Amino acid sequence: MLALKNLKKSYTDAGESRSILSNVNLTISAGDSISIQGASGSGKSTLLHLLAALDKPDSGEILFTSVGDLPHNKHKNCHQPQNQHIDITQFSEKQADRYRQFQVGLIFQKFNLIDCITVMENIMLPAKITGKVQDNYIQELLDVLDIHRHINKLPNQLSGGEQQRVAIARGLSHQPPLLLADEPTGNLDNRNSDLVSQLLVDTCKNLNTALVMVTHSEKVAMLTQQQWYLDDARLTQI
Amino acid sequence: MASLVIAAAGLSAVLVINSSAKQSYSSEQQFLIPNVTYTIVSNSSTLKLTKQDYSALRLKGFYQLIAVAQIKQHIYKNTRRITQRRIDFTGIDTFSLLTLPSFSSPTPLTKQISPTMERKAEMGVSLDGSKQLIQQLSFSNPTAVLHPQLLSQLEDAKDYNAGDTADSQEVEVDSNQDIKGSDINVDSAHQFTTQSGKALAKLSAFESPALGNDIIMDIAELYRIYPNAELSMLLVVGELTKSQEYALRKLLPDYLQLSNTDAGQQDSELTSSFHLNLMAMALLMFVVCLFIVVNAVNLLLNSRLTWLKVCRQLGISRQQLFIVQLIEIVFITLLACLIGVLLGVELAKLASPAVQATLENLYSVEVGFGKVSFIGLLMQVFGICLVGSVCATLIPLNKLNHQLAQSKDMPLSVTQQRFWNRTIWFSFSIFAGLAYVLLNHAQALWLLLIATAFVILSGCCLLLANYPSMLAFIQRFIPDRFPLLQVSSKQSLALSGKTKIACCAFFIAATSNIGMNLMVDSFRGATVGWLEQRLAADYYVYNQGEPNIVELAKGTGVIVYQRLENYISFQGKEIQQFSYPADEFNQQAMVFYDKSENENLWRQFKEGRGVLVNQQFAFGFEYKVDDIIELPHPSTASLSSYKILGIIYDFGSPYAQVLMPLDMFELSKSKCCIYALQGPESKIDLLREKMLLAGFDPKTQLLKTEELLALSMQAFDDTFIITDGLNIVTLLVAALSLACAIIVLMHDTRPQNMLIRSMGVSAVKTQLLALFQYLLLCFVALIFATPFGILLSWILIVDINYQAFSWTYPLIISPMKILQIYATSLLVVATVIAIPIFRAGRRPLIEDIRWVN
Repeated sequence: MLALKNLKKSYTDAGESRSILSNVNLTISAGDSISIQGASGSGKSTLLHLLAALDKPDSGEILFTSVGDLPHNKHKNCHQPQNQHIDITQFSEKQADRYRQFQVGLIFQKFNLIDCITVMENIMLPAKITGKVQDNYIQELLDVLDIHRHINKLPNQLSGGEQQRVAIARGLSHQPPLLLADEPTGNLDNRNSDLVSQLLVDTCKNLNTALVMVTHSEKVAMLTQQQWYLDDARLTQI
Repeated sequence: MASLVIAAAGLSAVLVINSSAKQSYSSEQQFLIPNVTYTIVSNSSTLKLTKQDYSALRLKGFYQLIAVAQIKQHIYKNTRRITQRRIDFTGIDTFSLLTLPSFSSPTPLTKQISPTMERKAEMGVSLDGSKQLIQQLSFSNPTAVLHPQLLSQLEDAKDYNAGDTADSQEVEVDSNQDIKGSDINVDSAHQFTTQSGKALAKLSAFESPALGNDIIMDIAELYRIYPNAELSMLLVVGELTKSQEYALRKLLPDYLQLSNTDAGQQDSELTSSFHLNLMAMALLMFVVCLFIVVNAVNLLLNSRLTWLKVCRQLGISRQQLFIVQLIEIVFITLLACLIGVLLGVELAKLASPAVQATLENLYSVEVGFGKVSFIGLLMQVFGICLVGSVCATLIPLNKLNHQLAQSKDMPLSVTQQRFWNRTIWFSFSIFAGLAYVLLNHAQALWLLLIATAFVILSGCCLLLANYPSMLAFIQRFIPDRFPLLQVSSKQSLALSGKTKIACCAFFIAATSNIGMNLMVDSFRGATVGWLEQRLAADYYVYNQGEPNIVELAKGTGVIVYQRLENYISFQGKEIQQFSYPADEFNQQAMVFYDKSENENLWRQFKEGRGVLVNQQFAFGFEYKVDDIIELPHPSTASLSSYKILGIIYDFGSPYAQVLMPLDMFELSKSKCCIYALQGPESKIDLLREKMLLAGFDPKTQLLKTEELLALSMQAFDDTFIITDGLNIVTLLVAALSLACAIIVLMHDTRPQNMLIRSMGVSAVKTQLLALFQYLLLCFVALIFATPFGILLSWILIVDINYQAFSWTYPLIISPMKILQIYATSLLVVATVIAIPIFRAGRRPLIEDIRWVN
């Protein structure tokens, strides 16, 4: 589904160029679950941002292969036949927006729920934006994540663990083939961390959604099928 | 810093304009001559002060009398008019003045300085300066003096006939001259002429607030260029003993009146309407300034809130933080005020011609150029800005108490929410109750203004109390297929809690906008209706003095109705007695506000048993229809009783007026200034030819009714330019304060905007959604502002107009006008707030994600 080829990225810090990613190669298939570990500032989040087409690499390719009935791209520059490789690093801003809308779900360390709308409205938002509201699927998500009883509450009435479960549901509500999670358990205690990460991996597995998760926790990383480590700008499988 | 500079500049500009207007208004009767203790003027509308009167009085030994002649005329250059409004040419008998012992020897004069003189000295009428000036005006060395700013305006003036620019009419000015910097003797070239082509004397600039729109010269010089100029008054320079005063009063013929200048001081006090306008401008700018300062300082401190929290967590007390912040804010405010005041003074100079013209149209007030103390102005502006700064410094520091351990704002608890709602409703009840009591019982204008403020404040409370329910109501109409709009509308509610000041500012601006516009619209409608009915004749002639148009019209077949007028004293105030023809045609033309039920109204009027009075008379002296008043007969002056048969509309007139039948007037004892003509075009042409032969200018003096109506409405619209200006200013202020609030809220809304963008929503869509949120808040404020605007308009028409101008008219509520205000208001707000919104939207999403996480 995703193939990273010779990806390079560097930042200029105080006039000095610092390599963050160097010749990174990775292949992600549909339904895969991958964790990326590494020290703070090693470039884990940068890699995730590149996968979400939020940032552009200095060189290299990220080839995306659409699956199923996706994408329904309105933009003329994006008329790609299905099951063909598209280099997302070449996307215009509009194309990147469409890519994130239909192909990617994002989960952040700080849950970033919208305070003024209910849990259900938060969950439904991406599905409504893409026009892919499937009630059965949403019900299944609510059941799996055990947040049924909270749907009419406001986010600030929930605990941290509950909020992150809502964020997972939101990230999956529009049925993206790829879910990117940036330290999803970073703000949670151990008990909640275990619970949420297990739920995240299981849910993605059930829905055949590829998961790329950045984490500091070895325990959480062990729940995924593949464990990768980013060190000195190089990505290596553990 | 920029916001503070804008606030200080705006406030100082308004203060300078106000100060100039007040100084000019109160120095209207001054001629740069100190120690004027009395004036002699004609109190008759027909008999004027003449040179013979002057010479007769001087021959009787009153050498301290100094003649002053005045005429209002345009100035020309190369036969083209260069002035937009007429300039006051004033001639002073400098020869007589310089021969006065009190004027030629300053020592005894300084001993004689009276309180009046002290006041004048304060206003820039210093003895040495005056003496220097008068010597300069002297007939042997003809020079005319004027304010430096008027001189520079004349030099830069455009050609109002042909539209040529001043560049094409070079003005030779000595390169050594520094008009603004010097007090006296800045010569200009002889390029200015009268309409007849006579060159004006050498023009010299003289810095004094007493010089407004005047050009002062020797009286001989004035008569050289304008032989028809009339003597306007005689000044008594120096004190008069009791016996001298008595003798002078005995010598004066009936039509001349000796008045003490101290007594005249009262007349030069600002009229209530003029004062009201100045006060409104200053108050508006004060509020503007406070809003901008509070928002600007709040913004500055909010951006440091995290740092302040860290300081608090490290154990630094709130007092210490407050003092440190305050010292910094005081310095920033002082610096901003310094720059702002300098900019404001320049702004006032730029705006002064337009303001002068408008105020002159509105209130017949000569507005000149005030002398402004920079230090005084700086202190005033700094003081006001400091109040705002201190208030704004307290707000975020207060937040530190609650937020010391919290990373973000927590919503109010149910108890807090209930308390807040109760407070708002309680405030609403208090403000509404006070407004009701004041509007029903207060008589003074200032109390009515306070009542208006209470009405607006109660509206603010009602808006804040009902924002949630209104927004929830509007949300129901957003279809499910627009999920982002639904979310945005819900976010609007959260924003409304954080932008209370800005939302209320917008509500106030919208209310005043709707109120003022409906008032002006109603006034316009009433004026058009009134004019169309009153101006029933085919043509009108405006002519003061000889020859009489009735005489000219003889043999032409044109029917002429002449309007004779007298000015009489009624209950200590000057009122107009006006003739009105009572034939069927003119009966139909009369527009009544209220009239007697009596069917024989016009018969009683014709027989001289009753009179018609205008609203100014009825409201000013508190008379109703069918009341009896005692008035002098227009020709015999004998007192008789008259019944008030009707109260008529007479918009725009400052005079209380009594209409009496034409046959009660005598041409020899009254003045005729308006003639209504009726007749076919061929006969009017005949009269036109006769008028031309008699020296009239039919083009300007013989006006077709349609032209007169158009001219009147043009004057009406010009008069309300300042109202339109104030409306736009208030809207801009509201939009500006909303924009400031948005900048402050950018930190709060950034995570949610980031989230929506991360879901693949484009930057443009996110920006439009943010715009929608704020416009929705403004729209709700507009909905609430509508009934309050209508109420404000009603108060302005029924109470404020009644008190300030003594007239009133029906309120016309035009839905189209209200919709137009909705559109304008939303457009102004959208334009202003779009800047911070689109600036934030241009930031790459990745930056937001890094910032949030």
